[in-house]
Amino acid sequence: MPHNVLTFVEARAGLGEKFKAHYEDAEVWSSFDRIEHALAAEEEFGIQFTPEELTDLGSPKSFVDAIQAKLNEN
Amino acid sequence: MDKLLEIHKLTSSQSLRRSDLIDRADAQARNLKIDVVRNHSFELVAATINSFLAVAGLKADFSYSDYDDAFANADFAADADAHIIWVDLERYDEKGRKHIIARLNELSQNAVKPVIVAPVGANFEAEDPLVKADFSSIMDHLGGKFFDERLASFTGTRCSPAACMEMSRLLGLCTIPAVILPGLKAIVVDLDNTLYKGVLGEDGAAGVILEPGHIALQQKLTELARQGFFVCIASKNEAEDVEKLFKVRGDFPLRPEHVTKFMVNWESKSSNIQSLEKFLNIHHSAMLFIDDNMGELFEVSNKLPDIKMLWASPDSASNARSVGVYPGLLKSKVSAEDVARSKDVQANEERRRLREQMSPEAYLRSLEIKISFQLNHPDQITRVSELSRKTNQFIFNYKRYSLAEVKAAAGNPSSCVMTVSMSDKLIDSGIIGCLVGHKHGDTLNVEDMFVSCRALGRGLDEVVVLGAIKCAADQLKCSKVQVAFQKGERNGPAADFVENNLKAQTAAASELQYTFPQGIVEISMPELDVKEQSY
Repeated sequence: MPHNVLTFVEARAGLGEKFKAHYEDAEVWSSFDRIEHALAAEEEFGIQFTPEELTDLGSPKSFVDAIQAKLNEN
Repeated sequence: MDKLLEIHKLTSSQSLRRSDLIDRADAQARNLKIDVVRNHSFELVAATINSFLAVAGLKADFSYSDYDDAFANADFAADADAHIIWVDLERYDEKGRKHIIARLNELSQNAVKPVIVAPVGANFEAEDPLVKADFSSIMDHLGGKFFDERLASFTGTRCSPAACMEMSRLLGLCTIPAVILPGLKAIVVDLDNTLYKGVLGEDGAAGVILEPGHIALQQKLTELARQGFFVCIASKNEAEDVEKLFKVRGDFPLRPEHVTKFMVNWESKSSNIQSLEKFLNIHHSAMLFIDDNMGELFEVSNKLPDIKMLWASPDSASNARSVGVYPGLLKSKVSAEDVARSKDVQANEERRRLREQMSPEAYLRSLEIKISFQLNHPDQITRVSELSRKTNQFIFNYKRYSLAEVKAAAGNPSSCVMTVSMSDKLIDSGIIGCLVGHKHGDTLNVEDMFVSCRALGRGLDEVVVLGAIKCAADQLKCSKVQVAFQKGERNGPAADFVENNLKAQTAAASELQYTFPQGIVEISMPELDVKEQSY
């Protein structure tokens, strides 16, 4: 995984030292936080999520995986 | 100067990123409480709005209604600085749309605080006092990208993130500041590399270049002049060169008649702006200064720290966009007073010339001044509210009346809204002052009195202010007067007047001895029963 995807998600997460502990926590963000992080990822990486992909976004890990998958598609 | 670059970016950039704007706010900014009633989600707009509000020195906390297409629980009496109706009109059929527009217009009639309607999906004819946020230019610009059905189920709105950011920009820069803050009164603009590309002294009148962006900026300034803003030029050039420039360049949309005052000389920009403060009788905090030279902007900001400033970048199109959304320049209506304003101030020069040649009485007689006091006039409510919100120097208490508050005072038999209009042989200035008062026993309590800066210094302040109080006291059959006065940052002229003329009435309810001067100005006032008329 390119380092910048993980760095991006970690910076957006705003969890500081707790990032690792919450890496797979699907409840760490509110629904609006999740959509804002998704929109930020679209801006940052020039990608666009489908509604189905957006539904699956929850934990920081799911963001990292989804962004990486979209980048691999391109 | 970083702040100037940031303001230029926020007001003009066409490539802003949501992620750069989210959750940013100016910690020093004035905090507002804004109540949002809605039938679709506002959160994407709210997320970026504080970045834009910061340009006007504001930030906002939002409280939200439930999603409700009927707006059954819309409560504009709620404790808030302003209300926003956030409505997607596509959710209704034609009949339902008509019904909801009528209902929202009606509900806003009694709102004490400003109500902004922000509609998408169809046109919304907003009636006073509703203020409409007009998103049509954003829709034109974004076209098919205004809506994004892909995200609707996640965001709660059909509006795309890009549309939400642009609507956030419009609300944060224009609409919310327009209903919360006093508007700007003057735009002071440089010439070289600002209104055109080039240096007049080097390129000559025929050699300076007018790009489409310069045309757009000049057109915007012309529009602002027509709306009653003072447009002034401050330029380091030879006066005769500038005179020739406007004669030779018929392609300039901005014409000399749109310019209230030219300050073309080699003095510092700050000293020219200080001269404009005196000429226009306004404080520099009500001015926007536009210049391409960071050094000039820095010099002005050092001398006049409260002035608003905009950097004119080499990208001329961006400057026009910045002026188009700059806080304090949005006017929802243009009154007769707005149209006359620039000519009225220019007439002050002629008045000054006459005053220097004559005795004070002869001077006033020569102007053929007419002063008219009018009581609770329904056609004047909008102007009274507007004047209360714009006046900063001659105002007793900064009450900033909403339309509903003016209507309530005018409709209450124990209260009065007394306006003062003035005309002379040079120009009809329209309504230049107003008193709002309430009767308690046999005392008139003057809640607020405010007079336009244009009318001050004509030697008639006593007639305007004491005359209004006297008329109001007589109308409400009060023998005593009590004046509320609150010293603010900029109401020194009012403080001086109160100290010299109304000191006793600020301390306690007491009689006001005032007789209108005879044979100097023509006075008309509301009729009273003959036996009760005291003058």
